[in-house]
Amino acid sequence: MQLDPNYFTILSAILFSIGILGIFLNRRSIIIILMSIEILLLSVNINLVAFSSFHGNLVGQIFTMFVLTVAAAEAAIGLAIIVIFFRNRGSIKVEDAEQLKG
Amino acid sequence: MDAFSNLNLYLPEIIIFLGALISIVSGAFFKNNKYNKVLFLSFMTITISFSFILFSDISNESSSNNFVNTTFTNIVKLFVLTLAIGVLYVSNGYIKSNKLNLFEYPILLLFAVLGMLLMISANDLLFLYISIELQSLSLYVLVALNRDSLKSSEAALKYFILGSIASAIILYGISMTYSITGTTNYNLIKEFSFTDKNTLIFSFGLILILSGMAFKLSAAPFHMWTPDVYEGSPSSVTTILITIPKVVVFVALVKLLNEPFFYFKNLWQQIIIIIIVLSMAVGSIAALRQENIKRLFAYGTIANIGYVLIGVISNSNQGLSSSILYLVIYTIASLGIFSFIMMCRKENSQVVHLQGLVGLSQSNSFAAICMVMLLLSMAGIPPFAGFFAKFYIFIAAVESGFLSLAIIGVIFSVISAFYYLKIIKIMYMDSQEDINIYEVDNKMYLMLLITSLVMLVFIFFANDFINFLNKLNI
Repeated sequence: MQLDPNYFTILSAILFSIGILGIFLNRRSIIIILMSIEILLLSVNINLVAFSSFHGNLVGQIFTMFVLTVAAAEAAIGLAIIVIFFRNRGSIKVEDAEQLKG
Repeated sequence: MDAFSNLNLYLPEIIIFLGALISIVSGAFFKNNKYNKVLFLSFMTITISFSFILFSDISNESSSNNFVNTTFTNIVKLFVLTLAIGVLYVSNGYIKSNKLNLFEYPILLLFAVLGMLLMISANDLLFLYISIELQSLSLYVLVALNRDSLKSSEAALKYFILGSIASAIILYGISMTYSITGTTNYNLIKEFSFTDKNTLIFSFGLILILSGMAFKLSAAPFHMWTPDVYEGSPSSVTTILITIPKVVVFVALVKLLNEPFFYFKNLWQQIIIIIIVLSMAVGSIAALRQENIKRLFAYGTIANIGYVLIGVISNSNQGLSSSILYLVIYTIASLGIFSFIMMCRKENSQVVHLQGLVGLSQSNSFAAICMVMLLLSMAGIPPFAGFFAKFYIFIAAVESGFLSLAIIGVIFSVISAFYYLKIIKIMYMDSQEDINIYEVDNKMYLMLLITSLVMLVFIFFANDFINFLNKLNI
């Protein structure tokens, strides 16, 4: 039995919205933003894999592999940037990133 | 063996990749003077790659399904590599005097350039996404180059978060396109969208990809990261950010709009018109009250991107070539202006405030004259190159029936002339108590001289250049 791919589209849309809301409504830690970015990328993966199965070609699954790799690299770089920010500022609260404005 | 038969297609990129790897390893093994040695290796790598592109022949076989080389892409690649060499050359003194001479700097630039070269030729959404990410990830790290500065790390943090969201939005748009078409290849998507008019999800995907690309171009309303990141990052990195990615992302965007999404022209034309008007307005008006030099030019960039995009919506090849012309002149002028900003040091710290330029005409008249030429060119005053850039853009807009857009453009061009002229006024007319002495750096002087001469001499080549671009068939 094959599921209707629309369910997966809706699921990935919900996850993507959760990720976006997590970034913009979050007023606490920058780590939460990093997790939300991860959710964004993974929600896209659900879409890609579901439609790879629906269309019967492998493009989507190969794409998913690349997205997973990029997500890992992005998390590594994001954590590194958070570390240097913490060393300079002594905090990783979102509202403490306020030096640059105007 | 079939997979390797067209390996020479990617040869310039492979050389950059290998050169970057060799630079990393040798950077780890050299005992002293790491920065200079790695810098030399990077120069070599870029030069070799440059000559391979220069002598590669463009024939019908010089493309695969997802990677297309044409004369135009090769010329853009040559321009990108030239800019990379120019930035590395001119930032040498800045990097050393601010003690940023980490050997990672040229290597990260090499990886960013690798991503850019791939992006120029990309003919597949997967290729496009990977190259955008390679470029962006390298640039995030470059912005954080000054590890001990709070501003630099905060700029990197903001750039990273907002850039990742933009990449994720592009990716979501790509997945929507894939869910309809079942392919990521540009040509197949174009064929598919011609036959199948399943427009809703398709146009949703287009809008998402377009907003992500507009973010990377720093076009309003996706510009909010630009001033913060440009101000916070070291000036040498700002020089990179303000010149090379703009050219590359613009070329990728043009290709994206004219190939896979060609049949959605009515939709993306309207979106881009909104982006253009907003960019020109935000860039011109918000720059008026800026006191920080880099912030001012960050807003100037946003306005300039607005002008560049006018050529995209025109229906002709002339429109695109005038956009490319604008972009070339804008990047060269920015390179000159930022080599000037890197040069402005007094009492062992960079000048970041506009008022720090007071009395420059007396203390350093040569730099002041060069800067005047660059600023007048940016403002679009006739004998200089910037005038021709704007002139051809507005011609293209009028010819494709966007007369009102051209009028709005001229109005905002006049507004933005105000703050460019304000800098000239500060340099020449404001009185000062103490004479500012700037440290002289020959490399930056040379770059300043070359770029301002280009602005001055361009009037003799304007016609030839635009004819050359028209013939390229972008």
